[in-house]
Amino acid sequence: MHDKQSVTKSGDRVEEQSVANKKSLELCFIIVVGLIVAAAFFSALGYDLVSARTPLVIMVPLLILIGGHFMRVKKASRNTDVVSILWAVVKGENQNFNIVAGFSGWMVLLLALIIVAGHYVGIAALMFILLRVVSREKILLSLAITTGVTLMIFILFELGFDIELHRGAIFKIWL
Amino acid sequence: MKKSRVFALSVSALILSPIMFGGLTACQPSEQNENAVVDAASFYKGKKIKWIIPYSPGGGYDEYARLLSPYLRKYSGARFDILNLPGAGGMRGANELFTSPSDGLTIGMINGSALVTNELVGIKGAQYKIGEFEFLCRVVSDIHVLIVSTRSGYDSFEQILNAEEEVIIGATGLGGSTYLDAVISKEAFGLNLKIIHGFDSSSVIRQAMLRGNIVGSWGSWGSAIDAVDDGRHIVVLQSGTERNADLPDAPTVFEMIEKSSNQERTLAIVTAWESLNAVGRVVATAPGTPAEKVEFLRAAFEKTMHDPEFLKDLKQAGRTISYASGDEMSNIVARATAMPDDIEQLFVRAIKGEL
Amino acid sequence: MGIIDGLVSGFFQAVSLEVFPFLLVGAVFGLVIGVIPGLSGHFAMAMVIPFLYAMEPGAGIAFLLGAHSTVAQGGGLTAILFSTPGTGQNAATLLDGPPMRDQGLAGLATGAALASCFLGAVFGAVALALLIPVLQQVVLFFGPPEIFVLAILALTFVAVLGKEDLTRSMIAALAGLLLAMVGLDNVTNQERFTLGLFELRDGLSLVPVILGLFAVAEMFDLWVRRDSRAGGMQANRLSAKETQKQIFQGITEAFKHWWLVLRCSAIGAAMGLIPGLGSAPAAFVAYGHAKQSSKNKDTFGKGNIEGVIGSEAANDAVEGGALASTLAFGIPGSSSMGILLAGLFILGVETGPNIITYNVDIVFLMLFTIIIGNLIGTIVGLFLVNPLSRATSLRASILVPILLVVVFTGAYAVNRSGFDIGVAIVFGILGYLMKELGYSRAAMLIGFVLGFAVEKNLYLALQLSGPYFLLDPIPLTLAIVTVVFLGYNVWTIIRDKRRKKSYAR
Repeated sequence: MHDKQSVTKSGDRVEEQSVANKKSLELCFIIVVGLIVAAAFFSALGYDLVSARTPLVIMVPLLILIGGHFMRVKKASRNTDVVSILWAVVKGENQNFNIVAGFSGWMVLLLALIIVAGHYVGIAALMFILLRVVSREKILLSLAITTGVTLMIFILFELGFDIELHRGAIFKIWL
Repeated sequence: MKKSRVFALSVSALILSPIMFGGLTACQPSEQNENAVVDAASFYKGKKIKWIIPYSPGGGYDEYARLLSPYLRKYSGARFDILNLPGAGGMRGANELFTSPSDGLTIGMINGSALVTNELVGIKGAQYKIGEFEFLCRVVSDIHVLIVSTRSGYDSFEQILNAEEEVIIGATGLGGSTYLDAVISKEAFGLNLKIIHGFDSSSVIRQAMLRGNIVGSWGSWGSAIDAVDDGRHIVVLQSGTERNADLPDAPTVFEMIEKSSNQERTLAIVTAWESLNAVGRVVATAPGTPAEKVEFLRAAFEKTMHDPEFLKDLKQAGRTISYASGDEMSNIVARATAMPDDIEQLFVRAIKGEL
Repeated sequence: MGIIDGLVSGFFQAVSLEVFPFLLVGAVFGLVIGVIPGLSGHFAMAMVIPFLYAMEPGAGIAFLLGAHSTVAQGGGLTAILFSTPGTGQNAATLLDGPPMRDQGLAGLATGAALASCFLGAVFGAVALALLIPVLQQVVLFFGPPEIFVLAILALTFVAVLGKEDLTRSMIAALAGLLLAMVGLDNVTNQERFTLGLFELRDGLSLVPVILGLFAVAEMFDLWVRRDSRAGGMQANRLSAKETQKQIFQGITEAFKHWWLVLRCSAIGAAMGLIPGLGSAPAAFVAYGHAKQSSKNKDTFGKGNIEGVIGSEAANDAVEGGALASTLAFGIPGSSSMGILLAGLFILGVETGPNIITYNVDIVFLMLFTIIIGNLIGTIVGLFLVNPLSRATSLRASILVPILLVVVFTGAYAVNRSGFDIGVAIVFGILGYLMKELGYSRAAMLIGFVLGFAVEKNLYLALQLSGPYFLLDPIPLTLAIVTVVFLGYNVWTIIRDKRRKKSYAR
């Protein structure tokens, strides 16, 4: 039997945790974005005046807003232990982050694979890995979906639309 | 966690290796059959040739390629597959063509005039040298015309020459052909022009002309035809050494030299300008392509562009050609890149917007 | 030929045996193109061109316009069902379409979307026919100064969209504007923010950015949640019958909201008339208007059918407006219009203001082609909804890899560039973070789409008319409208905040 009180408590705790996570995430996000915009600001200063006008006009209020917002988020998170949350992420203990990072990693791998070995190899590999390796789907299902979708894309784009999908650097070197 | 990573790596390796093996065994370095002079015709029979078009699908370059393909196939035995590679105003396609393998299976249709001016200025990102392409032919050399809106009150070039107030001319990007034409014409004839560049496209310029914001602009005759037919714009000046059959009333730049105060200089500028325009839209293949293949393709293009059926198709599509052979092209390009120093300086400064 | 004769002739041409089959094929083709993410109207037109050489003008027009008119419908379907906009125009539908799907109302949303598309297209087509003779005078009023102020006005809709959290929305919108600055400035040949990359010289391509921000980000979200009970896109698996019922309900809803449809179509057509703005802003402006004029403002963004109706109606009407101005001047307002013109040229159809005098039956043929084409698209679309929505109830762990791969292929196909896939990935991560943290991606998209128009037209306005261009009649009126609109919104924000405070006490 579930003790109502403990369920609520752990539900609260989970929510608290996720709110705290969000705040830390936003803090990092704002810092990174702020840094990028600041970098853009400084490069824009070196541009021809006519070209630099508009970007600078945009970036001044943007930087002010980012600064103000940063203060706001910082104030809202003064009770949260941001550092330990971030440390947990770095240590690999934050589940969500790991999933997201892993997913991004696979996508980047796909891109590299596409460039090197061609579009079809890339997408087939990505699908198969995501289906079988990461999600542990049945091997037959994974293979079926991988081949089916790859084939469909081939038919649709190459035969149907006459768009040649990237063949891959490997071929360019050898042939 | 670790087991699946090993699995992932081995799966990737498994998928990759057959591809690599396939690549290895399927390749046949083209230089190995040097012993016999490769019979180009039998080489090309049934092959697929990639035709790079450096612009998005649906434009004029596409249309020329599509009109030419069936005839080229007839005369070469090969199939031509159009590949659109837009980007950087045509430079991406030019780069791709220049770096493509020199096996004669990749050709491209490029804007020769623009590439020459880019190279003159030493533009960043250019991986090509215009002189090193193997030219197959010139498809067309567009006539450049100065059009003015009928609302503007100007209806002849003389009026513009003698204008007391600034004549506002529109142009697209800095260094682009409409811009260059405007600046060069200003320099050559000492015109009182205010050139406003930065318009996105010739369409936007034409709208501004309709609204009366600007007097006129330079552009290619092909894109100005319908507006002129409607009576909204008139052509006051055309490039070229003699008047085109469609434009009997507009003087050529050469005719107008006599009106200039420094005829020698004007002649030099106009000659250089004309040599640039003469390069036009060309078909080329990668540098280093074996001579027999180049000759074969050149012959195919020559036969195509003189084929009466093709000319009929062309007329129906409303397009014109000004054929020049691959051989001639090398001379034309050489002439365009070998301007006298002071004229070259002038052009470089014009393209960079320093004039 | 008189108007009535032209109308009758045009209609009969459209349904004749020589023409109708091409209309049918074209419409279905356009729908399919719209459904596939990354392929847009421009692409559909380019695909059609080679076939036109051998066609009669009537059949060719039907093929061309039939294909063109249904692309946005297809895009709307995938936007709702898969959170993947098929084309840039459907980005606004992403705001309320997917939330409706998540609530189990996918059929309702798609039915409404398809019907609104159809109604919007009819409005656009009629506007086209009515406006062409008058167009000369009207469109010439819109030069760079006017377009600049209009673009600013469209930007202020960000304030409406992001009312709940103004700071975050403004940051997103300004960031979007900044992103539009990436690339080569053609006024000075100055490379801006390109990091020395050749691929960025032309700036960021719209489609990969949209695919990343909205589609890939959605993939992230699904993937993260896939092991929990909420995995999979639809919380409740809808049966085919249920979906069917909802679809018809959706259609009726669209008709019930006819006044909204009319207003949003008008917005769409008007914005389509103006060259250079593109079709995406129109949908957002219409969405903003729908939200503004709705009694349930707060449910927008969470699945309010009015949001879907408004953006889809505007979507299709935009095309009618763009076509009108393209035909009237023979000057294309956008790249897909450029190809359309080329196609018409191949068919031997003359364009320009005289088209209404000499070829009035062709104008009506076009009108009917658009209407009938859209009708076909709607009907075929209806049949597609059920099978497609089945797909959405697949497990996320299966659906995501498939969709991801399709999205990436689409992103590549736009410019044949692997770089664009990278762009989609980067914006996918950004989009996911924005989604989690509550930054409005729609605001960023509006900023991105309008940034170019704002800067370019400001520059030209200053060059052509000097700094006092604001004092000309139209810019001035529009500027006043903008200020009033902005002022009103700011006032309501302050007022709502005060209310909240007083409630808290």
